[in-house]
Amino acid sequence: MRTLLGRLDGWLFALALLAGAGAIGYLTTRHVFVADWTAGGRASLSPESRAVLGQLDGPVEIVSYANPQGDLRPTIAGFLERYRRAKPDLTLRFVDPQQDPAKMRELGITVDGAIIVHYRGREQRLDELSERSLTNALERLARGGERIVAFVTGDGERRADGQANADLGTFMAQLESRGMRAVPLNFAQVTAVPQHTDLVVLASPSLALEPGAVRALVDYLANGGNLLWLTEPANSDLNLAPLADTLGLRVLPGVLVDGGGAALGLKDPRLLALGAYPPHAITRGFMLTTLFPQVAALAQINSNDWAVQDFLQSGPQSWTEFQPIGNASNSTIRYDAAAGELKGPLAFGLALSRLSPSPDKSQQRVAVIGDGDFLSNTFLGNGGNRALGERVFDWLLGDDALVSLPPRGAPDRVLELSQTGLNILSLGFLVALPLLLLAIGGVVTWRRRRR
Amino acid sequence: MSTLAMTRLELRRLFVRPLAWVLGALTLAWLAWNFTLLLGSFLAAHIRLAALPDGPGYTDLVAVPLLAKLAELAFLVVPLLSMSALAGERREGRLALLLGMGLEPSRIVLGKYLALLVWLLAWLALVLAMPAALAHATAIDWGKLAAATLGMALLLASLAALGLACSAFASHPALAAAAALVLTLGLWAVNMGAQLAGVEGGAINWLAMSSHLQPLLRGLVTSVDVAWFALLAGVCLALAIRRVAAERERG
Repeated sequence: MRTLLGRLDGWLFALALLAGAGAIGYLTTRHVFVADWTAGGRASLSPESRAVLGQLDGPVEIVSYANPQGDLRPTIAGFLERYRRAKPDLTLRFVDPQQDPAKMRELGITVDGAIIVHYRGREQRLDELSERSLTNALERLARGGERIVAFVTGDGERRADGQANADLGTFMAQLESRGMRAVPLNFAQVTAVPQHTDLVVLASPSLALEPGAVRALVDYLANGGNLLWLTEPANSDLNLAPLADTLGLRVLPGVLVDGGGAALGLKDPRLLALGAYPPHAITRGFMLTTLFPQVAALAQINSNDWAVQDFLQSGPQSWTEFQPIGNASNSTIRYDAAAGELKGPLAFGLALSRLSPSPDKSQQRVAVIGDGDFLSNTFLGNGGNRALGERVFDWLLGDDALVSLPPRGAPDRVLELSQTGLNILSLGFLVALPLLLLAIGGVVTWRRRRR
Repeated sequence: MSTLAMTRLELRRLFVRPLAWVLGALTLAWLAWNFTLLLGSFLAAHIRLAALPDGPGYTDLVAVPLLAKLAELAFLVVPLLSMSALAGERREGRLALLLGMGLEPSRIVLGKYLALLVWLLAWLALVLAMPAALAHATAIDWGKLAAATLGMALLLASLAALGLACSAFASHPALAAAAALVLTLGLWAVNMGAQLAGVEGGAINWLAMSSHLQPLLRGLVTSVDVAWFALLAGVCLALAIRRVAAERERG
């Protein structure tokens, strides 16, 4: 009986002790004091990031598409801890990308660990896990996230809100849910591109532009504006030569034809099907097939301060055909070098970027594509056309006024060490120190035995 | 006989037996090998790292990972050191002798605990000497290293208390070591399932040791983490003292 009572007493003591410890632990989590001992406060948020978080007055949800296996999830959670310390209503949710592959394709999640930040129905994608990129994404969300995309109108361009076959209504309706707003821009009413326009789209004009309109576009480029220019194979340059000169490129005459499409069952050689893309930020990890009807090839003619990269390229069997091809009957076309036709592979999508002339942006971006049909209501559903269009718009709009975070690197990134010093150090710790301890232990034990 | 005298006695017991020496020598050799590997990979990449604006440095890539390796070893070394502190004494009849001398149970336990701490902190200091030996060659981030060292000291102190408590309750030293190892691993990984399920915060994450050591290794010293280690050590020591006191009553 006494032992039973003693046992019970012991158990009760242990229970009371654990309950007390739990209570104290709970109290400590209520009032947390944090001290960052690292040099330059590297382990906590910079004041700039704190200021950005202060602008967000609602809950922020961060969804990370990381596999449960591996250590990606703890890494992401550990990184976001510093943000959650400063903003308690910032939540992190993990989604296993393997559970719903179809949805991942729809969202365009290609890399493990992709992160989408949601705030008030808007979203921003993160391309890398760093304080710089996340703070800038939050800054964009705080700023309202409405990106103004101005479509040049009045010269027979594709309309952003049109439902006709050649218009871009379907595509733009999907982009509007991602925080882009399409507005018309008619140079008969305004003389220059309005301020706060994030992107100007010149979508396949079919009539010649007024000189004033072209001048306005060239000025807009000189001031650091982003531009998407979709052009078509045509026999005139529609007065757009100054624009092409500014960018240092030419639209090559003729229409690109490619025999490679026959493998996909394409009867028309003017239909280009692409399955592989030159490496670029737009096409990174992009594996879908895209279809381009009636493409004009592009060429870079002089090198200026633009960094030019192809991101769409026709196959080696392609050439620029000068002979007209009828839609009704079979035509016989062949490569004719004497006429000046050029042989592939030829670029028809160019991505240009340069250091922005405008002080509040870091990079100015321009994309020129030798075809606008691939985004039109008729062809948008083909293969990866929509995904490619989204990628082009994301890249063009991906860079805007940035929060400048001062670099906070570790103070000890360079180590001055000679090979001799390294040898002494390793041998000393690896051999001498353990042997010394073993020797002392051996001597002590031996002397104790002798006594 | 005071607590300090008990500590001296226990230290002498550790000092004249080969176990502590062999453990120290072998673990230090293993950690020195790890240090050499970490240093080699850092030297191979440090020019590239210096070019990054927010790049990590020597402390982040060599010193702190070395301490993390020490934590892995400590899971095994601390139970081995503390297993015989009470269980072994009891088997050899010395615990009854000490209690019969009229020694307070709290003094016995705290004295042995302090002796363990002295050994473990000396071990930690020898490991710290490896990255600190290069202080002349680079500008070590002493603040971060201090936070990580504090984290390791707290970890060693709480593990020593846990090992002592297991030694107080177990009948055999090997049982005590096994129990301490299992409890340590359980505490370390208790929230793994919750983390895989994406649970953030909550009691289960507070209970896990890993969630308290990692901020310290990153250079963040928070009251919650320090209090957690102090609570673990306090609870374990109180249980050990209680157990020894119950033995005295039973005679």
